[in-house]
Amino acid sequence: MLVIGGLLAVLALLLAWPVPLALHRRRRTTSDPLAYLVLWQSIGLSGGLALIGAVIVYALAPLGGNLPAAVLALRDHRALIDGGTMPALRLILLVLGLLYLAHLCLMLAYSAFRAQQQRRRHRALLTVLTTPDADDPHTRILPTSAPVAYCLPSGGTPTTVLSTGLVSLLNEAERRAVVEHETAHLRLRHDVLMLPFLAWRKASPGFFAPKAALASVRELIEIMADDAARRRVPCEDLRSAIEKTAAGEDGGLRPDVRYRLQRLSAPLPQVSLRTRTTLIAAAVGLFLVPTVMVLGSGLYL
Amino acid sequence: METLGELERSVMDQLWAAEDGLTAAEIRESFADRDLALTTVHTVLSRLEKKKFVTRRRGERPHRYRAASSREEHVAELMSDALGQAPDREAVLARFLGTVDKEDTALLRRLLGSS
Repeated sequence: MLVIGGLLAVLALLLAWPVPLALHRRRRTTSDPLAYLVLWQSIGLSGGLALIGAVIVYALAPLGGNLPAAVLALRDHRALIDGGTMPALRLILLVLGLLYLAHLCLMLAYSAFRAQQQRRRHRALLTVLTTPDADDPHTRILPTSAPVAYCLPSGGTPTTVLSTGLVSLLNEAERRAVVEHETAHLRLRHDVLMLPFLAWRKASPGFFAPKAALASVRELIEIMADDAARRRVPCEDLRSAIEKTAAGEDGGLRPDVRYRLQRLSAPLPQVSLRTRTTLIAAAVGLFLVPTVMVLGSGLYL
Repeated sequence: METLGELERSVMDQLWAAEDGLTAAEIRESFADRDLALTTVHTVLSRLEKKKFVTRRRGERPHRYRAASSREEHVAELMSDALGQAPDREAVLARFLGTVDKEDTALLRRLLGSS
């Protein structure tokens, strides 16, 4: 079991830094943002499993040749009675590993709960502050000069909010492009996709991997929404809408916005089946490796 | 047929305009053309109170309802969600332009300042 523990630790280390760094650096080169998103989900899951798995396998190693036997020994209290085989250090590690696992699960539940609450408050604010658009009852107009557009995910009717500032800034076609982009976020359930990354970052503050993952995923979902929107509206409309709303006070554009504009200036990149298959296979493999190692530890070595 | 949401908005518009607050009867009078029942006005007011949009002082009879915050403060609250000041923004809303930057914060401050 020690060999397995060591291998899991190495995997956890790789997934904590070099792998996320490499993927983060390539976020603006991919033709297939969807596959990258799946890969990020897998890195998060696999990294967490490997870390927790390494700790638990190391902690339980003296109790038995494989995980089920060790867990049984622990359940029978044989390990903890006088002269038992479980040293204090390993017991502490076991508790820490389990605590981190519980912490991650709690953070995921908490993030979902908080989002729900904030959404309810936001909906109440929209009711008293905005008026429904004359043409589209699911679009609401917020009277303020700042150019903003966003959508509010919900189980029932999705709502798109546009400010009067934005409406006066854009022409009819550009406005339709913005709404398409927002609707794509809703249709592709990007709000749900973000939850694990928000929980992961909250559970591991200060670590590189969750920070890189969140930054990358934020950019990837914008690219995906652009890609989806340009299939329905002319590319130029979306591009000029972004140009008009994104220009800062000094006229400068953020690098991620500049990349989106550049991507919109070229034809929609074709996703090759080979690239997608390779990336998805890598994601599935990445997730399976620690799972098999934890569950099967000691059975084969 | 007006929805409760539209009534809530109309009542808030009235309360934002009235500095000293309004009683339910006064609100009903100002909606004379719509022929609202007083109980409807009370329903709307208690909904708004539950959402912390209106307050009333204890011991005052009849109750005078006041807007809890100005319209501009609520717009700023909405915008701070929309512009990404909320901690879990991505889970709450998806917005046209990705991440937050300093300009957004400056914009928010200006919105609050000009209120």
